Amino acid sequence: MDAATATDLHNELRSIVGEEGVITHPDELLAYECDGLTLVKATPSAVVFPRDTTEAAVVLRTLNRFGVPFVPRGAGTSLSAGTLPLGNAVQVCTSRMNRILEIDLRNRQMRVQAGVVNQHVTNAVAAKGYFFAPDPSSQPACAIGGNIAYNSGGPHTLKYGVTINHVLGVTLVTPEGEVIEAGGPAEDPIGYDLTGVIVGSEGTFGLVTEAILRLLPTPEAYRTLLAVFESPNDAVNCVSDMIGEGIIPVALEFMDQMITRIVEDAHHFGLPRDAGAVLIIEIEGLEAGLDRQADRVVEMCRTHRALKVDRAATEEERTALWMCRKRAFGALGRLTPNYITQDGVVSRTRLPEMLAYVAEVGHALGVRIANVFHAGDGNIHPVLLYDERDPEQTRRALQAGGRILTRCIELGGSPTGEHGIGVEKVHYLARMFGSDDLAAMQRLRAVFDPQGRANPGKMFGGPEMPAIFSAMIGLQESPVR
Amino acid sequence: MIEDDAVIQRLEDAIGRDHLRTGEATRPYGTNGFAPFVVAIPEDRTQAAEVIRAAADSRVGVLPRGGGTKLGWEPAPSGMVIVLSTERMNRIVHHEPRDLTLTTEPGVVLDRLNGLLRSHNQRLSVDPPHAARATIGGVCATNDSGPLRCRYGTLRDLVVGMEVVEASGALVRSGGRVVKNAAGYGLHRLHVGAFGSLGLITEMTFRLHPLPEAFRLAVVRCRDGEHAERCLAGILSGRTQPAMIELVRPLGDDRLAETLRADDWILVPGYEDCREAVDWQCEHLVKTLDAPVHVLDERASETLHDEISEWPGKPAAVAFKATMKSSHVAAFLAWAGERGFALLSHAANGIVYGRSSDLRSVEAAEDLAAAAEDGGGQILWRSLPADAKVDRWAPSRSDLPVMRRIKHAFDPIGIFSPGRWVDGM
Repeated sequence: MDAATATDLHNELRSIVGEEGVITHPDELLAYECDGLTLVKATPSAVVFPRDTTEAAVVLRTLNRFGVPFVPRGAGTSLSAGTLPLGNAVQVCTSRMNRILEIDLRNRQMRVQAGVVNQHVTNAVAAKGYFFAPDPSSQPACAIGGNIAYNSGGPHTLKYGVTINHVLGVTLVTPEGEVIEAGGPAEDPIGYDLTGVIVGSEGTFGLVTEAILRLLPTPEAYRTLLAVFESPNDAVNCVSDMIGEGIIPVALEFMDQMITRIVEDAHHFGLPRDAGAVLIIEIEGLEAGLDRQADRVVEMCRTHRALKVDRAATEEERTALWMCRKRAFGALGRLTPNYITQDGVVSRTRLPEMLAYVAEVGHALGVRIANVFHAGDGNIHPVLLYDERDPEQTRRALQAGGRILTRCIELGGSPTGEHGIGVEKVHYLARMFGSDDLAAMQRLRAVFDPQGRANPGKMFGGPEMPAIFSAMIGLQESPVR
Repeated sequence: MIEDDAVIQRLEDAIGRDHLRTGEATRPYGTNGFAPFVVAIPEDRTQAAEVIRAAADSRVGVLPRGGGTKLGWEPAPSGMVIVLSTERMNRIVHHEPRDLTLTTEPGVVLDRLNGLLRSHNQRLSVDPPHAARATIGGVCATNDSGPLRCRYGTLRDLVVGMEVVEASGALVRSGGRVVKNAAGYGLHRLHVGAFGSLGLITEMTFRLHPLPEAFRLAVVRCRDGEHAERCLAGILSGRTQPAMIELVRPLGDDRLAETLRADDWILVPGYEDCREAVDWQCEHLVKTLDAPVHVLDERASETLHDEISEWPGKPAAVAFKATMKSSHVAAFLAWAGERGFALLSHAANGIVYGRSSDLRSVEAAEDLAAAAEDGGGQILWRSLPADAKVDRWAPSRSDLPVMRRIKHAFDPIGIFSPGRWVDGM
């Protein structure tokens, strides 16, 4: 696009969303060149901030007329470079679409604009005894639109399910500016489950501008426990057996020795520095019977040779236990200048095998790897430590991540449980699925975005793919399937 | 006829003469509304794909069929169709109890599936009608559900992966066998409730739940619609956490009416949890609700649950399923009751089933549709007199064109379930 056309486009965009709703100055654009995956950067040609569905539709129609691709962006917390503006795309950012439109507690639902922050949904109804279940770690910052794009999870999804289980309907603006109301305030809408496929489509169908979210009643009581194990395998076997026995905690978080030590050194919670692994286990529900369930959990941990099991006796103690988990990533800064949080899934029963493999890879490639993850649903998050000033370290960290993801796929799992494919895992989608599977997905994409202008290069890749992620697969000779 | 013979010959080559039904033998596979031209009973995905290729090549429709419990629903399939029966594709492919997941072929009957899981103290948490005959593939293809959807959602919430044979004969997978997975589009969710109009489901993976330690239903007698809504809203905002809440208005000739010893407003909340929690909730309900509450024992609770689950599956001259916000259910029931319908609803979910043996009740069709729409929902007719002049589907919505495009993208020559679902819109 020549400079004159670009100026025309920018002026048109300003006439739609106002002067303050468009960013084109190179200095200001710098803030939008990457998201939560800081390894890769690309500058958008402009960033546009529509205020509602109507403005968004006009913006997309205008971009369509100019033949310009666009990237939806919420709060920019993607960990798979899902908002990376490849190919000079314009970013359409939802941060001015941050209004809660309707709260309907009788029907346990809330209608919001896509830019509303996840935590704000719960904050708006917490006093009345309700909450929104998906709780990714980026909860205080991430936008609902991003949760919808990536079908986000979080620790509490073991019991409550992921984003798709809590969205009744969405408003989608297609790249051609068509406004589609999928689903609605009532369940079981007639016809195909459009909401079911729009959720998790990573912004490749268009821009989601509004959503109807389900709310759940806040549980009356909790029991939060910390179990310390000598070996990581005991901890994960304990998880499988607990669930096999029919105890479904609301959260089951695993932290290995490296993480436990870092957290302890930084915050002095009193965690044992010599433990092989700790589990944070939370059960919840009605007060009645909860202590007996907690007793069963304790017994189960003891059966699996737990060195000790502590119960949070007060709300302060419970908050402190969760702080251990939530501070884990922040504390990593003490150990390493940079880290990559990987995201893979295996079935719970394969966790011991997977943990052994992660250790083996770390050893073979000389990469330090810490483990902190949602053990209840087999969603591992190995944290690969490196120093980006050393290209060799960076390369090996990426390689180690690549081997781990490949192993997840080989074990019948998935290369991503909640971060999505984005740009980072394009190669792994093609490993997990065959060409017929991918062709079917592409056909669905074309229904919404026939010209491939919505979030180009994501999920299926494309000519603009950054080369860096090829390093991740550098050591694998042949696809898994 | 020569062409018909060619199709049959090709099917015979693909799956063997023993597994084809023609002529009179197709009868049990049809309904009042339609008769299949031939029935093919493939053994596995490979044979199923052959059947679909043969159909596509000769431009004949394919209607997937499990237990046949929903073939009578409106609208009937149209044109010349091969019925593809999944009865031989009835293997449970994988079940690892400690993972709480199950992978199965479509032809497994629901009762058999849950019988197997019961021995591991687990279940697939879906309780639709016809549990003794309906196959898991059919329940999935129609997204049928029951009272427990209040806590567990529908199969759209429980399916984590799928394999489908497309119109080209290609096998397409999406999702996986793990409970959490963000890789690729959720194509499997598109097939749940698509009535086999986009492909044949050949394998599904579901997340399971442990069986609850205790289960009790309470029967609450309400005075009228307003009182029922007050009780319902009170329960939903109160301290108990029901796994199901039914609001029913059975008519006198109904077995459910007999069980409940009533023919008017009955609210049935159900609790499942550990024993202490269930007992506490039942007691709390009796103490706090402004209505007579009768708590059933465990066995009576099971019986009533089964009767409630089966109720929407009973045949009727006129029958519908309406959706709306939960807050509109009681008013809708008051209104539709006056027009001669017996009614049962999954009240927290806003799902209402109505039926009538009186053909004239169809005269209320337009008003019923308007009432459902007023509650943010739609109405879907399941059974209508042949000459009824009723819009069988909801009025056009902004999402209909995109649904047509999806149908075209996955089934460009229109062989799957012709006449049904989006095709019938």
